[in-house]
Amino acid sequence: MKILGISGLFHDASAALIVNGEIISAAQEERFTRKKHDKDFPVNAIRHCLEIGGITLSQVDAIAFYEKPDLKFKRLFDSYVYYAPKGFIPFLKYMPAWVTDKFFFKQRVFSLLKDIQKTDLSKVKLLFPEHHLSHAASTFYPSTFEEAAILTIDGVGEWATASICYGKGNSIKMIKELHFPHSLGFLYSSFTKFLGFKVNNGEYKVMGLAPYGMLNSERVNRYVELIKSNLVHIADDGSIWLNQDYFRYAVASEVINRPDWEQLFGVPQREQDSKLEQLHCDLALAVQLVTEEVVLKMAKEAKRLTGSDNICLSGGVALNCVANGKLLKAKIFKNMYIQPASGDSGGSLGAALAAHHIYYGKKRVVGKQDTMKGAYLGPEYSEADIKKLIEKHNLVYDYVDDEHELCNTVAEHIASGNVIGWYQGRMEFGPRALGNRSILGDPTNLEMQRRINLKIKFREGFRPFAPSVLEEECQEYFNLDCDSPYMLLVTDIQENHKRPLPDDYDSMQWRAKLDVNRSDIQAITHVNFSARIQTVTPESNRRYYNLISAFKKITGYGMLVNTSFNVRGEPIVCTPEDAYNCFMHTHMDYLVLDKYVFAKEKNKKSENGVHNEVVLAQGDQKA
Amino acid sequence: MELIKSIVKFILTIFLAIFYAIYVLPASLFVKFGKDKFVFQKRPGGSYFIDRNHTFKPEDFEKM
Repeated sequence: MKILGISGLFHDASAALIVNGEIISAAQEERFTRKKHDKDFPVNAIRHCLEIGGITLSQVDAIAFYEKPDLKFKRLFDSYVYYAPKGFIPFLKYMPAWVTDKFFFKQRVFSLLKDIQKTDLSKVKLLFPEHHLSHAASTFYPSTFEEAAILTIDGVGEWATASICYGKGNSIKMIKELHFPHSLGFLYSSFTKFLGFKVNNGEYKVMGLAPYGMLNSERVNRYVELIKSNLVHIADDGSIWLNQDYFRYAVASEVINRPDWEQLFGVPQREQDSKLEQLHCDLALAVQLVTEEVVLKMAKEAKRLTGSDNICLSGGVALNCVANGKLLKAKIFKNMYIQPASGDSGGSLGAALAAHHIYYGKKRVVGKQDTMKGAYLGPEYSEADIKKLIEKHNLVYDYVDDEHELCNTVAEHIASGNVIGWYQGRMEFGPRALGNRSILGDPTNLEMQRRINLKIKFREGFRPFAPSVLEEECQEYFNLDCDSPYMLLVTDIQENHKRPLPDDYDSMQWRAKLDVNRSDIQAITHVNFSARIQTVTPESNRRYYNLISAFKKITGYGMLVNTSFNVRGEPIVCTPEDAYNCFMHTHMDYLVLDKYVFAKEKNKKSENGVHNEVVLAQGDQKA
Repeated sequence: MELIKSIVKFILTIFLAIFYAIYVLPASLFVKFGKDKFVFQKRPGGSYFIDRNHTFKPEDFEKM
């Protein structure tokens, strides 16, 4: 039984292939087209999946699209009806495309598929699970739970914006759902917009900015109160009602009613790349606190409804690692599983799994390990591809055949303060780099955070970095008593690694906190002593584990700074060529492509390096 | 080809504008003031969740 899952045409297009229930491959379209959050039909991702599976399109039994276009159209149309005459212009602007999609969707999909492979698709079934079923399936079926509560929260699918489900064996029951326009995802995105970041892209930045807010300060408390009394009403069961007088997303391309927000909070909307101030951090903290309250209440309701000890999370809001960490700490459930591709990109995988287990009624085998294969489900490139790259650019390199020697060499470079582009094996599925397409550095280096942000990632200096830590070392550094293989949990560092803070730390302006020496693992310690953890085992990623172990032998620290191998505004690198381009256009010191080690010093040549450093560094100065 | 596309788009826009005037606007009044409380309106009671209680079946996958 071969099922191809597809998501796309809204944002984060992707494809996934499962064969007899086993996840064979999954990849996001953006990695191939180099357009971040690419929404187009995932032509390249489908090609990749078929190639890995060694099959043609005509050999696929079913194609599962991650949502129901008809229902989505109905929601859109009903919104225009309800809000008329508001939304007249967007109605004229967007309806023609939707009308075309509604009436010709299947034909369009088959036509696009035939562009990939000219083959007979008459026997291939086209299936349409609901959007939130796709999310629920993407997290429950790969998990290690025989039964579990499932909580999915995102912007919107068809009508649902959140759901509480119960999964048992191969069945999923949807118990309750929250309907558009009342959406926790949209509430968070609205603040993303108001704080001057891009919607569907800058939500991480809001999450990263929140710890700079002054917890329990009069201003943060006032913002929380303003949000809860004007923008959102939170019921005891976590369901929410958003006051649409303040929002525009239901029928317009703008997200918020800007004048009303400015009046409510008494501050103008921040323009993109303009200076960030303390009040922006406080606003970010306020919406983060409200989000956590909603997530915790919804989780309690899920517990009440299902009685399960296990919970599976998915949907874009499940990428809010801080809220996940709070949920874990609250101990509402004994066990928790989070789909690493929780956003819409994971919808393709969920759609395929739902089709396999529900449509075809195939039994589910639950193992001790989840079935995500460490999320290393994307394309892998051969040594021949690397050799081609070397030849094309006439590169100087060291080839280190022995894996331990390779890891020792790279670990020594890292310990000497160098920043490494680390590229090996299959690309990760989902937004996190987990040691196959990563930029690595020394967590104990006081300058590392600033250096990677400004000179390598070319992004805002306030953004934190995450550690990859040997699983057996995790509790030595972090207050976390479970594994976190997908970097989706935020927790505090242990007391013995904290440094004494200045007496006025809490009242310091946000930017000044960055410069305070907070811990002996400064580069991965956020200003509130939190860190977003990836635990690494030999089973999950052998070579990466060996590299961290080698670093430990040199420094005593069994962890590395791990950030995704890309620069601001670009997707994570996919091919060796992408990795090389990123390496040459930043201040990275070494590039490791499988067993080939390239030093920047030896490969400087006439490449137009560090092209955008000046522009972005100036932007950061303002920020 | 571009000219034909532009003409089709123009005609479709005119058609949609007429449709908006004769259907969407009156329907909007009906929905706002009718007895049927729509999802956009605040409902009385302690929860905004909608009960679904639905176990997914194969037939749920067929409809678009």
